[in-house]
Amino acid sequence: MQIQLILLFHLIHLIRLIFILALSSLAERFAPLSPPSPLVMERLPAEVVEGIIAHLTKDERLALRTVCHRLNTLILPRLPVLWPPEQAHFSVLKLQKLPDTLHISLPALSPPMAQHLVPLTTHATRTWKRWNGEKIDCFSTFSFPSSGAFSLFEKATIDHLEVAKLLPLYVEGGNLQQLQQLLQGCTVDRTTLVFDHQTMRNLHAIPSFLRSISCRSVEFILERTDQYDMLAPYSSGSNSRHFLDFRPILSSLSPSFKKVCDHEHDTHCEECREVKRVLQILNGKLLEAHTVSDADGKTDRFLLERMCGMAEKSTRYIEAFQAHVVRAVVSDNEKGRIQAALKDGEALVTADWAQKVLPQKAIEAQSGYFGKSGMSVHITHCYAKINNQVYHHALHHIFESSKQGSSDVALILRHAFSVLEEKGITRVTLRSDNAACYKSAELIGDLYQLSNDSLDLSRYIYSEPQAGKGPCDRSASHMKRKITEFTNAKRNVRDAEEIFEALTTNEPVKGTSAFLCLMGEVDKKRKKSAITGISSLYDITFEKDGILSRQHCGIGTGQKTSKLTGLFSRLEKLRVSGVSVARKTRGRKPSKSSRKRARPVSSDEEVVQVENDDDQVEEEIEGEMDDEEDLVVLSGVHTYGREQPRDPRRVHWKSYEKLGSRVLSTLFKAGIRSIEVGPQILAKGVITMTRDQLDALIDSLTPLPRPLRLSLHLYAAIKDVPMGRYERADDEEQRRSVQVKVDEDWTPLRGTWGQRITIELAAEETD
Amino acid sequence: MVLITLVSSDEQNFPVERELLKQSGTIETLIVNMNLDDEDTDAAAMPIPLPNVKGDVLEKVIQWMEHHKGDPVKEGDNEDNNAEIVVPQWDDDFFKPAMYGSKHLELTVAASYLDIKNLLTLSCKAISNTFKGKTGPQIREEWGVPNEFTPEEEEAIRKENEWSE
Repeated sequence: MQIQLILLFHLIHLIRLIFILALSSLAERFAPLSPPSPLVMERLPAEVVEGIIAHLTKDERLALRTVCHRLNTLILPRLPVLWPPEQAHFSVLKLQKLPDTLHISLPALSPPMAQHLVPLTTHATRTWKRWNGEKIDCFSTFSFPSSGAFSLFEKATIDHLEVAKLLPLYVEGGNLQQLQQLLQGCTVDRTTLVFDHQTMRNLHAIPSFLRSISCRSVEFILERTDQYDMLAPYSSGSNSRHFLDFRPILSSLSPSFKKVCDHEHDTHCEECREVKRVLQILNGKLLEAHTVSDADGKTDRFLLERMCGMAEKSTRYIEAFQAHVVRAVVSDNEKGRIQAALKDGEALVTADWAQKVLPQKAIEAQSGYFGKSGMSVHITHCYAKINNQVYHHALHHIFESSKQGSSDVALILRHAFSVLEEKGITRVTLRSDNAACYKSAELIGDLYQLSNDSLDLSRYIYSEPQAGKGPCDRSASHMKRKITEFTNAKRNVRDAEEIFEALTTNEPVKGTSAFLCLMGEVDKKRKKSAITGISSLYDITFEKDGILSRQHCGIGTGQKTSKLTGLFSRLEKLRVSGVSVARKTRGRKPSKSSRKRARPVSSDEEVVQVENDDDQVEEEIEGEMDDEEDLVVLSGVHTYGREQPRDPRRVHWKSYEKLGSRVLSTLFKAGIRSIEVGPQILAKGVITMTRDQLDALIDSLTPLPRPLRLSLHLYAAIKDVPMGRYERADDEEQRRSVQVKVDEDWTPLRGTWGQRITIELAAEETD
Repeated sequence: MVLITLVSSDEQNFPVERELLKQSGTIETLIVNMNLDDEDTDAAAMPIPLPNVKGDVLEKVIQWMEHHKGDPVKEGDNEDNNAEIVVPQWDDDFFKPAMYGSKHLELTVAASYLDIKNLLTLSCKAISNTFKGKTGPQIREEWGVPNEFTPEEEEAIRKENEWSE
């Protein structure tokens, strides 16, 4: 029995061994596929682990920490010192925004603190450091807005979160939300934010952002906003939506030449902003190049500095050009306002010297072509309202020779004003360019004297270079065309008298007056006068006790100059001296025949008025030389023409489909208040509306922003609408009022007809 | 040709050429200390026991040494740039059947025990290559390691990792 038990025991043991062997053989066979025991990883000796992790990067070592305790224990001593997030402290964190990129600078960090930036390498598109001996400057660039949500630092303390002025991260769009996400968990002591005109509307998003970063104090940089204005040129067409930055103009002015805007800045021009963006990109690239060169020292630093200097200089030039454009727009806007506000008997006078007219013959030898001295023609263009009709008229003062000085201009203007006064003009606003003869303290003194003596000269505004003298240039082209026509008829134009003859022969140019003049000698001993900073003054208002000057039209309280006593007597002296030396003419004397015919223009002169079929009035004046005058008008011819005033804010539309509310909203922002559908479109039959379409049009207008006042004139054929009976007003619950009036049949052009429809959207909301 | 017998932990005998064993620092030291290189000594009668190496692992080690016969043996600490080490194709194929398994680790441990520097370096490199670009959980899954960490421990390690250099 005992033997049997022993045999049984051995048999069981044998079976167990066989089973174990079979299992082990299976295990051997499938060992590569079966997962190893965790003990295998645990029993790895330290030197083997060290051998393995020696081939791994930092991130791969960090990943191994979470495999098992053994690896974590072995790897931990082989990692650098870990700094807990609570100890992260940055004195300044600077944000700069490049297109689609956020640039973060952390200057002057201690090496342990700089370690906190290491995790940023995962999210940053680029990270680099600059060692300055003791501290580390760290820089990171992120794509912004970022594709995924991540935070920069966890539980870090930032003393000053500064948004850079040069390339600011504006408070607009989703910028604040993105920034809030990046700084999640951080505590910021002080924050500096930069606004521009566009971001002011996002003010409501600031408090929640500041709360999220536990900010204690906030600083707003309003410099750009305060001095920022967007101006719309009055002209229509491609520039109608083009807004400009007013900041470069106002940035360096004294307070009396500045003005705080009383309107909301809610528009911007993408094209103008694009210029700024390009400049920002260039400056940003150079900024990065600076840092790169400092980091690796490979960049040519001298070349880099030159590039930076060139970029800065070019940026300044571009800003100066933009400022010039804005000044031109301001000046033109002011001109438009003056024209629109003209009352009966008032005029806007634009003065300019035309390019000198060279003597020319009908048949000229080549040797005679050279060495010519030109003859001066001064053009005084007048845009006046007489008997509620707007007239364009140009006065041409022709001189054989003139130095084109301020005294010459004073005498010409005195004569021009006397002519205008005779025609019923009582009040004049003068406009010219910045030529020395116009921008002269002596001329302003003379004009001040003139404004007190006779015609009321209320204001003198200066236009920008190459902008604002269009009427004079237009009239000059008429004159030169007339001269060319004269020479084509085998006649010569060799002197001022022949220019006058050319202008007055056959049918003179309509709306012009031509004067053949002789300039007297001016007393050179007259008292010199000066107005402080006159070269920068663009707007001068003549008052009873002096002049009020501004640097830009209508902006600021202005600078008063009341001590003009030194200038008062000059004009009188000039006149006296002119009499005494009238025969000592500077220029070539007119021919005897001209002298015989010449006589001065005076107010009691009998004029001959001839009315022709075209409502044109011609007036011929003949003058002769008089010793009492310094400016002698030998002959003069007036030819009057009437022109309808052109509304600069009128746009011609070519299809009804464009009259959507979106387009109209854009036009409103551009300041366009009158839209006319031209009759030529009607003639093509494009605009034929039904009543439903008219209703749809009105409905499309009503969502427009309020308050506004729209006066929309449509010349169209409306079916199903009785003549002059269609009126519509929206209900008061919508607090809108729309009135539509359909006039009777109207024939804008021969052969076409239509109805004049006036749609008015009342501006004010009812309480 | 002198043959030296290696005895694995499971009592298996492996006669190996004397020349091959020069790659192993541990065995070379033993041979020198036991004067097995002397002509008077009967090396075949004096097997070298390797109690820390199993027979199958020892067989793989000998196979590797035979292939790398004549390769220069590294002296002292490994000062090579680890990033520049490339596992040759033959070695890659040699390690591949044991990849992600205990065999590979045992082979590495054996290389460490036998002080075969070239084998240790290549084996460690091959193991580290399997860790490249993978997270801890992924490595655990591939190597069949159970998760020993509590969620709190994992979170703590994750935060420490974020702030480590």
